[in-house]
Amino acid sequence: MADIALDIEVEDLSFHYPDGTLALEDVSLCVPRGGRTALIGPNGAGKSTLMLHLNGLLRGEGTIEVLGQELAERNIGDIRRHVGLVFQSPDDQLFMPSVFDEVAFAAVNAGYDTEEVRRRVSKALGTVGMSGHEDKHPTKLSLGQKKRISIASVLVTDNRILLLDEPSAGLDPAGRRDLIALFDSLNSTLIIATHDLDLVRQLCPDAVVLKDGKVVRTGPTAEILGDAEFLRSCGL
Amino acid sequence: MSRDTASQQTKRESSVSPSFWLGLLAVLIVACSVVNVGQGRAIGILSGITVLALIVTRTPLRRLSRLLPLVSFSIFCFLLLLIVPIDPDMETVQLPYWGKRIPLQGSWFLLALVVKSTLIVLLSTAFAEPLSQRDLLAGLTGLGLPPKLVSLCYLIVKGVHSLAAEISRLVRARDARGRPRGLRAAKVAAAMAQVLMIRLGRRAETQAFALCARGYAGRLALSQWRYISVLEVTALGVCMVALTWLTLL
Repeated sequence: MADIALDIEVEDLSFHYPDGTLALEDVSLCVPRGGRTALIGPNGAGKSTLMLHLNGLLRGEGTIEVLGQELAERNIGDIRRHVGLVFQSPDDQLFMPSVFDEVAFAAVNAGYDTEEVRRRVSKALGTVGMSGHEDKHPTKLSLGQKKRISIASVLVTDNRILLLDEPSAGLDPAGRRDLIALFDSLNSTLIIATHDLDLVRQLCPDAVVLKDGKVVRTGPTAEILGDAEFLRSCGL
Repeated sequence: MSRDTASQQTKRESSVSPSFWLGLLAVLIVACSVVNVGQGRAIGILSGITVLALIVTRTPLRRLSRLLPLVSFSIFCFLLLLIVPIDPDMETVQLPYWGKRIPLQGSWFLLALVVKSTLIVLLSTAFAEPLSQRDLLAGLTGLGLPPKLVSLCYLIVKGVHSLAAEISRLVRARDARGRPRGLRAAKVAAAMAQVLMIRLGRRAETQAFALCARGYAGRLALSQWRYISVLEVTALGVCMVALTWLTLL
């Protein structure tokens, strides 16, 4: 990995929840620039917790480097501008009163002027195929549409890294297919936490397997998914 | 905060800002709060304004169910008046048809509570009818209130919606397995309340993460809003003076 540009480098990351539960233990991983990496593991493996660390929302022991900068309080705002996090449940993520305001939220916070915000919202909604829904209330959309709006709301600031937590959960087959096509069309570095192994097979050349908060295997997706016994031992 | 979708863009560009309507509601609420219930004329005018607001905003009758908590609280206060010990020197009033005496001061308090709270709840219901959640956020921002206060007000309204949705999910889940009866119903309700608190706590935590992940720094930022205009502030001032004069009559 020495001469490959890395977007994310995590070293010996450990994290305990306030009740003492060990969520991550000595997690180390690297994600190359423009790469697509899957974080796979059963429920409770620590995938979502790791995602929250990569955006600086949780702080554990160990080091995290994002786009060449070590994640720290002084640069957290700058890093968040480049790292978009899409939560598992859009109902948790969407809170603004209209689709336009929802998608514009991060752009307004980033300090863009009104015209630039409009342009970016229009572009982001176009990317996710939701143009024309600007005035709708986000809670009145279907789950698939809500997921698209969640993705548009992070695409609006040209994130270089996208963290997607269980993006295909709860979607019907058509919605899932559309979402995979959408991710396939993006140029950002993608980290996808999921236990949808078909989605991993289609989108991510590399995978990291987590179990009980530890990285138990990293490598090419085809190799990992070809090892049925290993997957079974990990509860997958 | 109901009609959220169709004509939002039109409303956004309308001449009267949501800040004005929120300001007017605040003025009316203050007037209702400070008015003396003994002033029949003032109460009559405020009641007239309330009825007019309900008619103009075409508030559906079913929204009047929002008075139910007030009714139950008023009954509770009335029952307290019935059992409160009466000092021989205390002024009292005799209840018609019943003969029971209750403190005069307490009966005025009860009357003020019922009249003022009813007017305030009805006015809030009427003003909320044509305003969307976006109008609330844009209106509070346009009034120049501190950003954290605006965020808090908006998130409380959102929280009430989340609470209602979560309660209906829990009730459906309970009913799907047979509705409990008698004492067990109370136990189940207590367990549901506990689950509700945990779920709401988790959701609040995730929403806070979602806000911070997109650069939230204490301000729920909208891209299109405007401050309340000088003309609207003047109009509010006139309303305030008129209502002050009215309540001092």
